[in-house]
Amino acid sequence: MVTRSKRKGYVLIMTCLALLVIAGIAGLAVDVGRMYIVKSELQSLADSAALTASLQLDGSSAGIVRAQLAVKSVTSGTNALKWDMATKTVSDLTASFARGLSAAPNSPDDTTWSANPADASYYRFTRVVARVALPLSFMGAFHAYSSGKNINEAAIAASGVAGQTMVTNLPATYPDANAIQVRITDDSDQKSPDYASYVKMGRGNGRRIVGLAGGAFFVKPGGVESIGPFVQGSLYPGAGTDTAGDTGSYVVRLVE
Amino acid sequence: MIEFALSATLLAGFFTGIFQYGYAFYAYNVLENAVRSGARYASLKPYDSHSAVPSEAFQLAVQNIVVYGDPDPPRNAAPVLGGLTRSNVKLTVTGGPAGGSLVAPASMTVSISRFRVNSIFSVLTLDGRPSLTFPYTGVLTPPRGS
Repeated sequence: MVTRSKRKGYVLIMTCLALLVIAGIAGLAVDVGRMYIVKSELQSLADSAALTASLQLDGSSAGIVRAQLAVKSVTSGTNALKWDMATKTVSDLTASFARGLSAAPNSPDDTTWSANPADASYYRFTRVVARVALPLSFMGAFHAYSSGKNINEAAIAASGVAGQTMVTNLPATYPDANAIQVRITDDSDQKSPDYASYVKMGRGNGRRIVGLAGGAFFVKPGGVESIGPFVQGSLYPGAGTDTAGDTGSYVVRLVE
Repeated sequence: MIEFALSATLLAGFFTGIFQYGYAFYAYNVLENAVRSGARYASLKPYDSHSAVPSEAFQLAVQNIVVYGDPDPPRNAAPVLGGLTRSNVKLTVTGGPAGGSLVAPASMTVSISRFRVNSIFSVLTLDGRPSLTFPYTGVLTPPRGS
């Protein structure tokens, strides 16, 4: 029949056309799926590095050096953070540091961001940017077709900002306070009455330090003693703000 | 007819592949975000143990955050990803109190262990990834009397 012979090959042609569309869908499913994963992984890595680094800052240039090393440290060791479904090591990590705003101590002062500040005093915030180039499997062909350029990688970056932020309005029922008070009552160690000797004994890191509304207190058995800024969870006293007589209590938080 | 048979095979293969990869990537992304919230929660929760082994309540709360997004989920809570249970969530504490000395943990690592992503034709087993470590920034609050 005439009509029949005219329709020969119809399915084949349609399949070929459909394959183009399907390749696009495959590109969405595979490449975009991977991009989302890599973006999440980089975000986690940048946040973790920024938090780790911010714990090291104490207003000295030695603190900046420690923070820079801390940023690098998250990509190595037993708990190394990786990308591309945890298979590759991130090599492009950049850290910069900032002071806090005088008016709003929990926000970084954007005019002070510097990779290596000459005067490290009051530097409390760390920004870590992680960058990778993700090889594309399907999308590259489409990108080349639409832009005329042969691009087979996608640049993906994530930035995390953390800093020592002031604990100002602790709720009246601060959940940790009771437990810490119990701990203090039971404590038989009476030998470290000030921050310096406490650190010297290698016992920093928040045991008998409790933040209370209105200031920072180093708690010793039988009473409290105010001692200037400290950072919860840090072995270092922290950078403080440039406000005179600062005895703030700080906790490292993600701010962006 | 033969053309249709050939192309149908091809297309079916394509669609299966798209589904498999799409679902596996989706699952991984969900787990990545779940592990992230678990690690962040663990890094801030007061640490109530005398050793690097966390207390049962601490571990349970972290696992619940990862699986249900809630430290104390309601009885009928649905996991963030089908098939995910608390036993798939591993919490590792680095540093921490030991031998009577009271030092707060250095970091908290949350990872997914032995979780199988079933996508019809193949199974992807995730063991040890996704994994995330955050520095510990909470306070050490060991229980009274020790």
